[in-house]
Amino acid sequence: MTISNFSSLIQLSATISIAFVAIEYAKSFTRVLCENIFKFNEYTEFKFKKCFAKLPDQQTIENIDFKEIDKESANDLIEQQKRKRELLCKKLKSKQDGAKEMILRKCRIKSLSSMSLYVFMYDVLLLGISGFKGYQSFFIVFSFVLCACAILYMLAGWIRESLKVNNKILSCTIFQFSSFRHSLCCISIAIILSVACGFCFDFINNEVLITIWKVLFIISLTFSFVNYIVFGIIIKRKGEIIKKQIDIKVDKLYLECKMVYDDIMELLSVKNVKYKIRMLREMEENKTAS
Amino acid sequence: MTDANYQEFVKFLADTKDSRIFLNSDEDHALDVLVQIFQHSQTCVRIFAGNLCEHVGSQSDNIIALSEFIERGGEVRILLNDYKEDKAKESNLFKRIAYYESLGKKIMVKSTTIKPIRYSDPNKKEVHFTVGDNVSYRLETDIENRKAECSFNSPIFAKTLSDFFDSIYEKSTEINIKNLFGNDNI
Repeated sequence: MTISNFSSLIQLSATISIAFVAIEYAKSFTRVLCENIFKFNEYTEFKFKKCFAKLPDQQTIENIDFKEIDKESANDLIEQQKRKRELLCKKLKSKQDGAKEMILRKCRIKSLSSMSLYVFMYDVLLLGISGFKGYQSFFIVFSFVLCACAILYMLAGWIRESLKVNNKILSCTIFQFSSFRHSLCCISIAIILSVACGFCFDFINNEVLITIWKVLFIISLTFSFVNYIVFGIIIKRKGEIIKKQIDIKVDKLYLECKMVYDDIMELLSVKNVKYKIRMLREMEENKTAS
Repeated sequence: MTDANYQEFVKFLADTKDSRIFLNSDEDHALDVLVQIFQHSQTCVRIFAGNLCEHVGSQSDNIIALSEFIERGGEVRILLNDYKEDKAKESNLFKRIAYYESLGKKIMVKSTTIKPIRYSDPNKKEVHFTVGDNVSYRLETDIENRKAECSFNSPIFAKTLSDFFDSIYEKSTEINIKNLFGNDNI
């Protein structure tokens, strides 16, 4: 097995990675996952629909036409309820839009772009050394250390993003995976380490180390593709946590909607009772007349 | 221009305080402009109209915009030259005005017999207008066909309209809207 046997896969990984270095693509990736795959927007709309459905419709309220209750003016009471409904409707729309925007904002993973840069540069280095036929011992040790560094970098990045999901933020500079500077520093350190080890060590005749090198190489190449699946899982986990927060907010809003609904139903029941009393009176008058 | 596009266009002009004068001739378009005048005014909106019981006056968007403006502490002065009590009693707008009057908010409706016209109009057609904060205005130059000219940033002309409005307003008779829906009228 040589690195050049896998050059097509390495090229594919490099192409995908360079695309994700552009932040707009990373944002679109998050948006596509949130809206089309995990359907967080649909969930938000479904939850808020419950609140909107609880509110009495505008036409019903505008057609509450009685003017007095026991000879006291009812206009202020009716207008108060109408205004409450209007304000609640506006609040629901604003909260719904806010929830959708919050999901996109919190699910956006800044480190996707910078980790993609690291993977791209790693792939370019592999393609570079795959062409060399001579100095095989040097390049095997070089790629051994490079693969090990790549695996450690990606594992560290994934673990850090997973910890962020549970609000455990590591503020140390070593863990700033969202910064391009961080990924450039890491790849530089990996190259220096790989070159140094390449000059210092030679294990071309060591079967065990050669086997380990092959395994590390395969794993690192797999990781460069699995990177996006891992980020997809992290986005889903973040989304699930936000969904629970939305559920709590919506439950509170639903109670407010129910209060407005109950108040307006009270007014409607007064209207119905007044109508029934009027009907009874008319029936009695008709009986008396006949 | 579709209705949604026109709404966005009017909102854009209001948000950017664009000083251009634009025209419209449709009730829906009139509503879009009036809503933006209410939303972008801070202190006082003056309305000179016929009776406000028909067309745009009683639209829910207009009532909501007026409510939000009053709740922000704004003052609304309304002058009507074709006030109809029986129609006002059925109007959602007047019910809302009565509610805010009973809360002591700064809103007052007065009636007048004056029918203003533009000097420059050879046909001497009656005009109605709305002015927001001495900055924005909507001047309805043809009240039958709802044709109007509007601007969201025309302080000189808006001030002229406001001064004209105030000169009539001070001499006009107050209409107690609260009493329309009060106990005396039950």
